[in-house]
Order: sequence, then C-alpha cells, then structure tokens
Amino acid sequence: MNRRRFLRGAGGAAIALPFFNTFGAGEARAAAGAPKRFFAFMVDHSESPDMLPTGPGPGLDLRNTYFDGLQEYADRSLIVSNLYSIGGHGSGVAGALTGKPTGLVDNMATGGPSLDVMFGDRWTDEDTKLRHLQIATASSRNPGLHGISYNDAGDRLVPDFDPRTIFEKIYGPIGDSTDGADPAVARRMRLRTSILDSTIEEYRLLNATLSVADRRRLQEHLSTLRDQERRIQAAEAFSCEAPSPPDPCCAWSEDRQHHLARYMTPDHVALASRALVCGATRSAVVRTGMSTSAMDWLAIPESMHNISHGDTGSSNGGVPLEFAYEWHASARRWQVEQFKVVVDALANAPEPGGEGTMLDNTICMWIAEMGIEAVHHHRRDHMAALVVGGAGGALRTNQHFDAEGRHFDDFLLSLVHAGGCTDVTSFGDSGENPISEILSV
Amino acid sequence: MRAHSWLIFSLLLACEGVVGDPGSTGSRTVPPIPDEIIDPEAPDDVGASDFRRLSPTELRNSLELITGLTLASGDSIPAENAAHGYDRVSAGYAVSGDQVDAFEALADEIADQWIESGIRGAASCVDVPPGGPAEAEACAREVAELHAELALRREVRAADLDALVGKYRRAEVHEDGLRWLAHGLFRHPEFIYVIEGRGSTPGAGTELGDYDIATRLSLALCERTPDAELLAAVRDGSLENEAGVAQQAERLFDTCSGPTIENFFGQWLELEDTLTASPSDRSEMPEFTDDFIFGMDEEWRAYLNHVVYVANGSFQEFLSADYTVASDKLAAVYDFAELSEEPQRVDLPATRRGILNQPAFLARFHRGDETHPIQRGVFLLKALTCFDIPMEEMVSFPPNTPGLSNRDRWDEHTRTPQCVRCHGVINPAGFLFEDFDSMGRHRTMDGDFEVDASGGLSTIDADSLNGGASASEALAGSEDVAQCFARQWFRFGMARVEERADASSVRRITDRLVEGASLREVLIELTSTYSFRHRRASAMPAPDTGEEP
Repeated sequence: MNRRRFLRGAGGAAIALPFFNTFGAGEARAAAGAPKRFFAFMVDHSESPDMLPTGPGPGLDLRNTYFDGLQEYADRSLIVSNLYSIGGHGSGVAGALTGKPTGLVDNMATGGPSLDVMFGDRWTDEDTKLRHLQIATASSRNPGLHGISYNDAGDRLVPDFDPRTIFEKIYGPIGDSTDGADPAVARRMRLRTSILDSTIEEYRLLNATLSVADRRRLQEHLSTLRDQERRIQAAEAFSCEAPSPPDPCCAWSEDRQHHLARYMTPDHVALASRALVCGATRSAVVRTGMSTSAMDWLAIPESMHNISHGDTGSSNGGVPLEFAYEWHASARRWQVEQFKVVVDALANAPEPGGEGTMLDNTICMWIAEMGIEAVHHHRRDHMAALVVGGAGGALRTNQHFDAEGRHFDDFLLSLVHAGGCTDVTSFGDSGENPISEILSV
Repeated sequence: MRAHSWLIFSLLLACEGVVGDPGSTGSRTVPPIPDEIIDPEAPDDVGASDFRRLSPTELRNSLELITGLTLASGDSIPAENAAHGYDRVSAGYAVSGDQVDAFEALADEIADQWIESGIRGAASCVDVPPGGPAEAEACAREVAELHAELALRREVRAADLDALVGKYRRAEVHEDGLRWLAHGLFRHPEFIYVIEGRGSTPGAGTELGDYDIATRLSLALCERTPDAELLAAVRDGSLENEAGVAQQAERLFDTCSGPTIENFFGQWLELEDTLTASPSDRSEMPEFTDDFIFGMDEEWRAYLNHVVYVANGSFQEFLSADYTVASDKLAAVYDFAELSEEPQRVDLPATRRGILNQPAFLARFHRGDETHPIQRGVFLLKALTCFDIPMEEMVSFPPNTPGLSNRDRWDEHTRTPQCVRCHGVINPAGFLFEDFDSMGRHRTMDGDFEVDASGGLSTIDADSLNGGASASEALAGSEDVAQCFARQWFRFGMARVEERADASSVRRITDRLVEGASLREVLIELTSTYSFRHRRASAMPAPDTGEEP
C-alpha cells in the first residue's frame, strides 16, 4: 500500500488534505501564462556601472556588461535599473525579497512574506516536497543571520548552508537503504507517519484553545510539521535519481577568514538547480557572499567589501578605481557563472506536460544588496536587477528598462503579478503600482 | 545623566539615519531608549512576549533531567538563532525544518533507550512484554504518570493520561507503544514551547500561575524545566508567596546554576568565542598556541566561577578585581606570577584589572599580530554600555602607511566626517586597551612607537582615561554600566528583550548592582521583579492561514 493510500485509509487524509487547499494553489496554477518556478540569486555589496548595457531600450545586449556570460539568454532577459529604495547593507539584506527593509537587529526585515515564500506557498502542489528552499553562504553559528526569506507572519526563515543537509531535503537521507518491502521497515514507516499525524493534531487542538495573538508560534510549528509530512508524502512521487552526495561539511568553515562562498556557492547552485528541475520545489533562493577576505582563487587581492567601496580616499580601503572596477567585474563574472548553472539547467529541461523549456516558465532573479554606484556608500537609491526566464510570457524580456526612480518595491510587486498573483495589490512598504512597461499581463 | 543618554541616542541616529523610529518598540528595532528604562518613577508593568521554544540547551537538559538518560542526539540539535546575542531569545526566527527533525530524533532516541534498557522508575515495565496486554497497559499508564507533569509543566488531568495511554494502544506491538509514548510526551507542544499565562487578554499584563513561575525560575537559573522538588513546591502552595519563590530560586542557584551562569556571561561578553580566536596565520603569532587558547578559555570560566561562587563577589569585583584565576598555559601573558598546571588565584599588577584585561577579551580582537582597537571598542560599547553600532556600518581596514602607529593608522582611516559620527565614540573606547598587545600582554611600546592608551568612554561620562585598567575601574563604577548589565541579564533570564514597560523591573536589578550586592543576589533578584511574575501576550496578530483553528 503506498503512503498516500495508507494515509487515507488511516484517516490521515482528513488532516493532510485541507493543507493543500490553504494556499489557493489551484487558482494560481489556473492563471494563463503563469510561471511555475522562482529562483532568486542574491549577491553581496553594490553593483557597478559595468552591470548595465549602454542604454535603455529594447534589444538587450549583455556583451559589454559583466553579464556577458548570459548573452545567449539576452532575448529571454530583462534588466530594470534606476529603482529607488532606502538603507544600506542591512536594509539590502532585509528588503531584497520583502520590500520591508528597515530592519536593524540582525538585519531583520520588519515583516513578510518574501517573494519566494509567497510564490512557493501559492504554486506548491501535493507532489512538491518543499514549499520553498532557502540556501545561503553561512556557518553553523547563527545561520539565520544570513536569511533573506520571511513567512507571512514576518518570521525570518533559517537558510541551509550545509550541502549535505540540502541534499537530504531534496533526495532523502544519505545512506538510507530502507527497503519498503521489508515488513519491519514498513511498520516503522507507518508508525512514523501516524505519530506525525498525531503530533500535528496535538498542535492543532492546543492552538484552538489559545488567543489569536498566542497562536503565532504554534501555527508556525504546525506548518513546519506539515512540511515534514509533505516531504514524506511527496517522496513517493519524486523520481529524480540522486547524484552522489556532497562531501561532509564544513571543515573549512571553521577558519573564519576563509572565503566560504568559494566552496559553498557551486554546491548550492547545483543543488538548487536540481531541486527546481526535479520538481522537489518551485521556489529556491541562494545567497552568496559574506566575506571580507581577498578572493585569491580569482587572483583578486582585495575583499569584495574594499573593492565595492573603491577609491574613496585613504580612509576607506583605498582600492584605485581602475582596479576596483576590474576586480569587481571579475568577482561578479564568477558569481554570474554560478547563477548561470541554474539558468542552464532550466533551459535544458523540457517543461513537463507542456511546451518549451522550464526556463520559459521561470523567473530567475539576480539581485545585489545595494545599487549601482561608482563607489558605494551603503546606498540603495539606484538599485538594479536582472531577470532571466520567460515567466510564462508574463514579463517583457529582451529589454533594459530605466525605471527613472520608481520604487524598488514596485518592481517586486511587478514580479508578484508576473507570478500570477494579480490579486496582490501592494507589496512591501512601498510597492503600490506594478511597472506596466515590463509586464505583458 | 538622562540628557546624556539622549545625546548618545541622537548620535546613534546620526549613524546614517538607520536607527528606527524611537517610538517603535517592536522586537525588530533597536532596544528601547535608556532614559525611559532608568526612570525611577516608572510604574510596575510588563513588556509583551510570545511563546518561545526551549533553547537547544534547555531542551537537552530538560530531557536528560526528566528521563535520567544521556542523549547522544542532544549534540545535533541545530543551534538556535540568537537574537540580541542570546540563544534563549529566539523571537523573530521561524522554527526550522531541521529543528523539527531534531525534536523527532530526540524522542526516538529516548524510545530506543527505553526499549533497550528499561525505563527509570517504571517498575511495572520490567516484565513487559512477556506479561501480556493488561500488564503492558499498566506499564504504559505508569510511564505516562511518571513523566506527564514533568513534561507538560502543569497540572495533569485524567484526560492527559488517557490520551497518552490511548497513543500506546494504537501501536501494533509493545515496543511501538513505548515509542508512541515518548513522542507523545516529548514532542508535545506544551513540552517544546513555554506556554504561559494561558487565556490572558492581549495587551494586558497577567499574573502568572505557580507552574509558570516554577518554569520561569528553573529555565532562567538552570536552563532546564522544573525538577520534582520544584513541582512539589507548586503543589503544596509554597510558590504562592515571595519567600517561597525566593527559597526555590536560592536552591536552584546554589545547586544547578553554574553552567547557566557561565552560558550567560559567555554569550554576553562573547567569551564563548575564545576557542575560535585563532589567528588566520599562525606563523605571524607563534605564541598563539592551542595551549594558549585553552588557557584563556579556562581563565575566564575559572575567574567567573571564583567571583560568583567562591568569593561571593559583586559585579564591580568581576569588572575590576585585582586578581585573576589562571594556569601556566598563560605564562606568556602572566610572566609576573608563579603559575601552576591548574588554574589558581594570582594577584595582578596595577596595570591590569578585571575581566576586560584578560586575554579572553583582549586577544579575541586582532588583525594579524596587531590589535584591533575598533573591534575592541565596538564590542565594549555594545556589551557594557548598551550602545549598539548598526551593522550597516561595517568597517574596512586601514592601509599599511609607514611611519604611523597602529593607533594613528586607525585614526587616520576613520577621519572623514561620515566616519567620525560613530568613530568619535568608538575609537577612544578601543584605544584604551592599546597598552595590551594582540595576545593580551601588557606593553609600553607598539613596535617602534610608544604606546598611547589614552582615550575615554563618552557613553558613561568618563571622557579622560588612560589604559585598560583605568577603563575597567571606570566601567565598574558606572551606574550606566550597571543598568546595561541589568538589561543584559533581563534579556537572558526572561528570554526576551526588555521594553519600556519593564522599566521598574530593570531598575530593581540595577539598584542591587549599584549598592554593590553580590552577583548571586543580583542574578536572583530578577526572579522577584514584576516582569518576572507577569506576562503580557504580544499584540501582534496571528498569521492568517485561511484555516479554522
């Protein structure tokens, strides 16, 4: 008996099924042309003018930018520049996907949800193992500090950093050779799922006795238990063959001076692309960066921080501008290569049950903490973003659009609409008006 | 002093304008305004709190206390995300899938050990399963009765026991029944979450019941849920009066608080990072050996233990004692004293005083073989004077300009008007410790330059100081620092950030500090404050999940 039938037979479906109706997934999927996947790739510090093609307008040409590695996708890409927002590093981390950037303590946003969580919740169906997947360059001490995703209640989600943990989320436990035909294993499996159902019921019942304000914490735990149930349930429908698992993490992370991104990010993008292509999730976020040390493997003798500050006199790192731009572009090109791993994977995967490729129905977003500046002063008043992927036809790609100071949150709201969530009328602190020039819906 | 606090806060606002609206007191913004906190006229009131998860330490300690087992999977509970620096303050972070998996693994390990080796105190389980169904159920009921009150931390009703036995009955075999029981007890929301002041109206402070007080007491002082003696005190009504609460607080402090107090100080002063203070390039600092690292970690712990539990010393003594407790692993730093293999009390010269003149603080912040006065200063201002520097303002490093001392290079590096707004406060604080090198050795020369350790702590009105020892003494004598420490202990002990409403409770702890009470008395004082005895439910609405509860 398979897991789902077992659950129904055991009365578990009564608990499990309402969950799938909670997020309006049916309506979202029904919207014509709606994309089916979201990927956000967040990079550190500010952008430089080398991010942009020579001028705004249709016919995107990425060849003279540090996105030149993505030129083959230019017709399916969109750059939006000159977006306005507030704050610096902390706000960049807090506001990139939420539009609620005024967090201070631990760079925390003032609320949620983030774009990836909203999309994940809406698009997930019962065969999706993970509602959304958050990955960041981090270490075991306070990985939550590096999170950029938030749930509806405004709680920050803790990203994964250990490639093996992420691998297990996608493919199941490493070294687990349990054979479903073995009666003892089958009994243990039944027991585990029954206990889980019972635990869920306990949280639900207790929640019902609490005041509305006090439900918050337990509600969040309840959702996570249901995610656990979802992982077990969806495992059956999940048919991707697992590659060999990544090496155990992370002896190198003990050295605080080491550039973690060098080792983590390639694993992270590989896992994110597999998770998306295999349908383990429809929404994934990878954050890279977090270093103040030189990027020796790229022959760059300065940290991204100092480069990004550029030549602001002897008081601020003092990287001569001609080197600053060159090194900044080299570092970004390495990051673009990582981003491209996901884009390539989606472009090479046919859309299951549909036409074209997965990339045609995906929003792949590149975003930095801060905006474009000759030398950065921790500002976000000239933000720019790149989107690759057709978004199911909802975005007007193959253009560089100058937003002329429109709010960054309007851009996020535009993506929300491109994602088929047209019932959402505002997003973040200031997103009220979608940018019609980049939307075709 | 009050006007002064405002000045500092305004300065903070000027740091790029990133500090939130001072009127906003949500948990996501900078801690409340010091002015309001020290207001001696503030009425008794209590700040808002959500239910919280047990921290990884609390979870493990509690399970081991309740079951009497040693749990290997206690090592792999994911670290809690420490908001405001304390892992007991988890507000703002959603529970992660990894945490939920760990809760399951812990219950599984308890069940495995029960099945393998029997259950402590459950006599009727000894002969099961051979005894048959009736005996098996008697065993299940005994296990439920034995553990339910300890796990749920409230009065156990017949329905609770029936529910647990009902779980046992759902199993196909006895072993699975025990597994059901372990999961029913230790994945239960009332075990994993501190659910208190049930049924209270949001926005209004509610006096807590005795079970809730017992739980707060035990978690704050020993990071574990109440033991059998504390629960007996709840049942016999002795927690209903202040004397009864005080008696239990003293018992807990004297019998199980050691690791918790170490954990608090370790997180407050980030002393827990001492073991990872290794320089990136050991060849630059050949004396920075593993032994030295163990030595400085050992020193702060032994010193703290001595001040609190042996000398019954005060907060002032902790900050400015004329002795330390060190072993010969620190011979490179303490070359003025005879040291032995085990840490022992040694007198210090006049150039060195208290915890902040120990290597655990001084050697943690370095850059190669040079001191890092900015990190020293930022940390000190934040931890001891509650002056938070926004993370937006991450510093870069000065160029290696020849002909300038380390101090002068940093000064030059932070001279622009934009930098000076914050560095005008940070640098003078950090420079005070320039008479200690990157390993914490006292020095009078920095390479070819004579050491200049003049500076000041403008956040506590001590503008003209010279050297690390003078900094320690100034901090020890400051009421502002006492108040900041009261706030730090409040955060750890209450597992949340203080709000304006908690002013009278913070004031009460501050008063004990200022009068020079022992740290034991000061730390216990928290348990008699108004905030400790009350709860106000957060007014934040629950998420709309579209689901009927």
